[in-house]
Amino acid sequence: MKLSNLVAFAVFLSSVASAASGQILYRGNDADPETLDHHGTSLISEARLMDDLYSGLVTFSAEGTVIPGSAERWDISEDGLTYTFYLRDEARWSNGDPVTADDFVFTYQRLMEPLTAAKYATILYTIKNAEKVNLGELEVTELGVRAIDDKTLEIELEQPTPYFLNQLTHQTGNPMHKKSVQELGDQFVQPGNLVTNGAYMLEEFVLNSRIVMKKNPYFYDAENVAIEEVHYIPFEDRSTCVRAWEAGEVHTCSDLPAQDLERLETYGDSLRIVPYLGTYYYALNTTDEFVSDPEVRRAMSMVIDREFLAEEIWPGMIPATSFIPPGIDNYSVGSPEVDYFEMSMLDREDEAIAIMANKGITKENPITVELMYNSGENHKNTATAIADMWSEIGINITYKIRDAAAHYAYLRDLGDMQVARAGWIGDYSDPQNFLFTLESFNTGFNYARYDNPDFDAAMRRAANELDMEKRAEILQEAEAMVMRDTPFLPIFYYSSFTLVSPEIENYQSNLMNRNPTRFLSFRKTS
Amino acid sequence: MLNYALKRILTIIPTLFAIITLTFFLMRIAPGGPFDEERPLAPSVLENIRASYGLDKPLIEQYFTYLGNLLQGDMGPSFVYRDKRVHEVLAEGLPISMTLGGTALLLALVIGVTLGSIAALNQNKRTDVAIVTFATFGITTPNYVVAPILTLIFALTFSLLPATGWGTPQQMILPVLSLALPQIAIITRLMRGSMLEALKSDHIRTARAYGLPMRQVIGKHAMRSALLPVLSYLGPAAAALMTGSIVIEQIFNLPGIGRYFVTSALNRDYTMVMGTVIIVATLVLVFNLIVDILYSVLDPRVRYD
Repeated sequence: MKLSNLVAFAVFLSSVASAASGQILYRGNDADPETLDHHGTSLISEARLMDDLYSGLVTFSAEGTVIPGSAERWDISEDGLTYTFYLRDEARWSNGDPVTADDFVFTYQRLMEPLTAAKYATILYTIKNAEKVNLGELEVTELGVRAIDDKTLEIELEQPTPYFLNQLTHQTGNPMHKKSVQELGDQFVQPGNLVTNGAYMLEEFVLNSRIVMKKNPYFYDAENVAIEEVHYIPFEDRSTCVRAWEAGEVHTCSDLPAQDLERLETYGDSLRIVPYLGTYYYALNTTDEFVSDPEVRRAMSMVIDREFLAEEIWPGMIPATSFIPPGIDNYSVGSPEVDYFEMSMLDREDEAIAIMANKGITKENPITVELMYNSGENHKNTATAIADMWSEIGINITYKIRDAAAHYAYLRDLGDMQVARAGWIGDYSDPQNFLFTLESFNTGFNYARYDNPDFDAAMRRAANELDMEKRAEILQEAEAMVMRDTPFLPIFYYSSFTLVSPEIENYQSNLMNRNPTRFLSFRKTS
Repeated sequence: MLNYALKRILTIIPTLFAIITLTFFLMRIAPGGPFDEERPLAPSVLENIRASYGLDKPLIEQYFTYLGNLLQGDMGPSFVYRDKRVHEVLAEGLPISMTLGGTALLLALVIGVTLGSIAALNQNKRTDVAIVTFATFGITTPNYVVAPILTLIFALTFSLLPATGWGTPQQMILPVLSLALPQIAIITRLMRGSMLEALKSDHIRTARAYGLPMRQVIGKHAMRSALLPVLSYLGPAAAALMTGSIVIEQIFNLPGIGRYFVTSALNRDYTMVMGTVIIVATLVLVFNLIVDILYSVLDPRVRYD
């Protein structure tokens, strides 16, 4: 037998073997993880893997809502400062060890330990003393997390944080198996070493090729997990995933190229375009000589035809009329209404021209403003279109284009700027996770250098308000200030684009763009 | 000869050292760092991370630490693949890129030399025109056009071959073809030109005048001198092909190292940039050396003493 035949035969044999033990789910992912140590992760592509490998205190349902995870229930003290979690008796690690409160204590301490250098430690700064521990000012043992007994975990917070459970859905909320992490050091993430408590366990990780996970027999809900084996295939290029999907080599694609959307409509229900928890915006420097005038910023926002941008440049995206995307949790009252979005484009343009004319700026007597964005075809098209719209009100745009790393480093370091492109995808589903980027003290996030004491005060009030209805109203007030002052000029809300094979059942596309494999199954063919 | 090879190998070391030093410092001039992403990191966290990678130390100290580690075969931690060292990442992908590039090059060499010779021997006849047309087409059509078209035909329409992935012989066919096609075209044109030249040269005319059989004249004498320009092309081409192609890797989703040349620079993954530069530089230097040595074997006029 020739070598090539031999190899082909071996491949055939292995596929027969795997088919016999249940079908394999092939999931196209945006990228390989930077690490499988979830304290080092930050990307949505990594969060998807963590959803399958781990079960935090709370976790996502098939619809992307918060449901009990390793904790079966919890109590919240009246002042909202203390959470007591009761772990499931049947919660076990993939090696059979029970999941204990001590595992969680260890993990959260490790997250805040400065040497761990966890990218997203800040998310859980809501835990008592977390920030000080992370800054090295306090010992990790001072962190407000303790094990009352093997199955009871108590977490103390800095202040009442009504969205604390939403925060715990972030991958930083997942536990780690204390014993193996302590014994193996940074090798604990390697296949064969990694111990997980989610529906799946790590079998193989071939860089840029595949991550293989097998069903964890010790998972507390293992009996309801239908898919025995899942392979995550990273696709650097979105079009390649589409071709692989069309060739039947993957069952799902986690993101799609905009230019293919129209063609893919022929696949009907397999193409999923749903709102995603994120906003594309321009930051306007509120300390800049010209852009500091809120009326000017308002005029700049009024004159942008967002429908045009969403239709022509960003198919599938939704024109934004607020900074916080709709559908977010804990925001019953919703975003405030902004008067000019009710007006026709022509009226908006007239009013914006009038505002600018008042200040002596007209199309004939324009001023020049610099617009910065990170390189990318669609960012360029957006900037060009908006520059054209702004030219009507007497603003001439010059461009400054950098690659992503340089662009964001420049913004972070508060370099001179007037207008800059940015985007924000929520880490957890709560309005606070959007608005906090505009708090005056939030250096590194507040690109607009927005400094409004009333806004800061509203955010503080919201943080201490336990009544969720009242809190939502305060947050709406805060967002109304943002929309009035326009430090961030929202352009569109993101949507997620997914291809799902008709063979897959119960893939419920949702706002969080999260679909744990444990809820999926193969459609029975009769 | 041996002396010459040794001398050349010795010059490789200072050349590499200069390249490493230059790259190390040039890279740091680029604005932004490995942790500047769309989702900004809190200043406190950024400080922790920079400290854990030693980026808070003076640049010159980082340089000497890097050199010290490199001498022990350690290319440092990747800033993007945090569970692996750079040499581990490259060691996983390099064999794949080399297999792919090597196969494509071999294929291109065999087909290119054959087609080029046939064209030259049939100069201005129909065969020649056909081959030259094919070669022009091959040179002017970029990879990123050929590869999706091949996928569309062989994978999506007729389901004969897989569209993506790496591991089986079937998965190699489309990427190798896409990568080889422009090389076949280039080598065909080079070979045609040099063969025409060789056929006109004095020693071939003499051989033919002596009545040596055509097969022997071409196979033994003309081929030898006609191959020289192809050989000079092969050195840099081999280095380029074997270090992977980001286009082909992306289109077929192959786990080679071509991607790192672009992504590491964009991500400011400093250690990975160094790793890729070291690999390319070493391969270019080594292949050039091999070509120079082969030259002396093929061309009796070239002697290194």
